[in-house]
Amino acid sequence: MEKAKIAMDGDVAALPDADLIGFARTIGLALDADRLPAVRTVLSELLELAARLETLDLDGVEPGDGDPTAAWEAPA
Amino acid sequence: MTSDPPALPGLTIRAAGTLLRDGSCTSVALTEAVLARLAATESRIHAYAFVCAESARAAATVADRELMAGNDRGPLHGIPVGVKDVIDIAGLPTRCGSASRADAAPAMRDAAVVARLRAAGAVIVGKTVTHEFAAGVTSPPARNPWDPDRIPGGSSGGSAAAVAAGSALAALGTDTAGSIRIPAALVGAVGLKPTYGSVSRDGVFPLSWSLDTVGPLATTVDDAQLVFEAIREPAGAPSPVDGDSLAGVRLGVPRPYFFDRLQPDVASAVEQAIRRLGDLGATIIDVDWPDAAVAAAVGFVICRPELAAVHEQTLRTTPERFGPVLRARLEAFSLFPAAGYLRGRRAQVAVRRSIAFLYRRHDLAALVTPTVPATATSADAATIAYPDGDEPVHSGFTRFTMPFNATGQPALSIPVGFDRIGLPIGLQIVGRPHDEATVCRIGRACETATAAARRWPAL
Repeated sequence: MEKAKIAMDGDVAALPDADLIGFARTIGLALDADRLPAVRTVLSELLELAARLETLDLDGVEPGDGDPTAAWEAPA
Repeated sequence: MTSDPPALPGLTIRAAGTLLRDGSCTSVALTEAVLARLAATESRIHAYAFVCAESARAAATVADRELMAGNDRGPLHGIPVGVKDVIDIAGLPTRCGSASRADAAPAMRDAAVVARLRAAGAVIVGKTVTHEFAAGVTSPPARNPWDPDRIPGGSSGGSAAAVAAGSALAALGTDTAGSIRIPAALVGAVGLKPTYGSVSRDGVFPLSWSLDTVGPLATTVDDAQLVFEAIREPAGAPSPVDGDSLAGVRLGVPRPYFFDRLQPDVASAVEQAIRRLGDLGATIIDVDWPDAAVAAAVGFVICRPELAAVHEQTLRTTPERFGPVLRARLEAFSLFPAAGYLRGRRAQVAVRRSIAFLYRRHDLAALVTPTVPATATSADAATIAYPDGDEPVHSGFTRFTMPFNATGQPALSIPVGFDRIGLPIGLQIVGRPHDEATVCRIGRACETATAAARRWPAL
């Protein structure tokens, strides 16, 4: 259930401690309660950075192949 | 055959090459001078993780024999260089500055970029200190030659410190969020992050496959370009040098974002450098790249999950090999949703389009910005101090560099002055993809017009 919620809305940080530890274990991480606060802090920072991307219009934009010149060849 | 030992630091590759070819110095003597400088400074600077003195002497002996026989491999022939310890050197372990790799086996072969250096005749002095897995900006235990109580920046902090201290004439670094440019700025060296994909990453321990670049740190723009030309892919004829006139060159100054929250001395030195570029004939244009902050975020949203993926197996099987801080970071990055990562990859395309549009709209050859908003912090500082408050060291020092890792453009940092306590200040010059030649032309012109690049730390 927790995994389905995460897959749907990406709100990992909102999971209760026990669920977050449980989810971490399903992907092979030996996360424990002692380190959880530090992990939550780092994860929250990354989610905040990700939220800034919401300002971009990504309609129709596909991940690139890494070539930095591609964007310079076609008019934006 | 030899005269006095060459004076270090400050000896350029170009000048050393002249000494080697006119017979007034040998590569063996030059290498011994570098090793002596290293021995005299390492207790304070800690630039090197491993020194390979004997193989360096052997390579220098071969270089001298070849030159005497008329086999000249080019500008790097017989030149002592350092290599960041995330880059494989055959026969040496690549420890990446991490205790988790203390028992790493020796590399079976050279990284492609090391092979290119050797083919160019360079003499490899040793492996330089990196921030752990190249994922940070402080690079302990390396220290800043201008003040050993301060950081050299990072993650290529050892490479930068070695160049500034004179224990290498140039060094290789890697740059994923600013790791060449940041230490270059903080130690008063020149650092060139090439266009993403223009230098092979084969044999380089990854931090982020989508952003990692390999490039040089050196004492002058000319030297950095010489090293770049030796390692770039595909190999070919050197880029044309169009002279140092900047007449007709249009430079954008993106004041929103890139001039927000600077230490006053940094702002003053960078503004002076921009005026100097104008005096040299460049047309200076104020521009606004509204996606700059988003571009920085894009870089981290891509980089951090990729870092977790690099270490996925170790994190699952032997997580105790990581220190507590890195382990928590890797665990957090592993929990980041895949959809978020892919949004980052799509956003990278969008910010690349927006920066290309900015250059086209204003017909720009380059953007010029501060490399970093502040000078080197104390080794134990967690924050950068500004008149209006503090900022965490990592996010502060990567604020102006990471946007151009996201876009993949070439970016050069050159020294343009000092703050009131004598710490170096850097200017960042950002060009169009694969136009390192123009970036270096602008940097060389600015460097020629300033005395900043001619001062060296008194160690």
